Amino acid sequence: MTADDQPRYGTPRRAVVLVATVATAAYAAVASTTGVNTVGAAVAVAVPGATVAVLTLRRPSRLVRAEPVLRRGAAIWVVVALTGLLWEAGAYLGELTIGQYEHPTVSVLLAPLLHDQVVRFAAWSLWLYAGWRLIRR
Amino acid sequence: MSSREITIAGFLVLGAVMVTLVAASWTGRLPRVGEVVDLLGARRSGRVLVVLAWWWLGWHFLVRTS
Repeated sequence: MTADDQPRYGTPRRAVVLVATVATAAYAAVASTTGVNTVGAAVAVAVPGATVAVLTLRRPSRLVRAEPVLRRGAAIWVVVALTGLLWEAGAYLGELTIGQYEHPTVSVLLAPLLHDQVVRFAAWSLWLYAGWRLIRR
Repeated sequence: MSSREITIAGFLVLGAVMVTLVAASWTGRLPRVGEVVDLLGARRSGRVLVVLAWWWLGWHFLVRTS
């Protein structure tokens, strides 16, 4: 490949990223208009969810060099994620048995924020971007 | 401290730990989140868990927020 070929080689990739960015923003804009606990919101999460699942899971496994630093970092993140999951589950159980005020889940705490249209659009964009990164990795 | 304060404090601590981990990855002391996801997703079973976690976040915060 010569230097002259590079711009032509890179253009489709940039075009894909541009189209994906615009499509993601458009999807987030539409999805953020759906209300919480509605069928529309459930469908809006299910469509990209299924797409990312299919595209990610059909990819063949690959070798990743697990150096000690990477293993340690992964272990720390797994512990933090599991702790968060357990804390949220505990709050949820408390919410069911004692009361939502005494044991609010993180979603309850963030609900007033997530009802704001701008925050909701940002949250949708962030979630879709994370899904896009899962496909691209 | 009331139950509510303890619950909220737990979430705040977890949030602070996550911010610290991300900051540490920027300085190179810890791997980046993307590298960790790559490691977890190297095998299909790990990828299933990563996708499930991502999907659950979307469901929990964008569909069912209360």
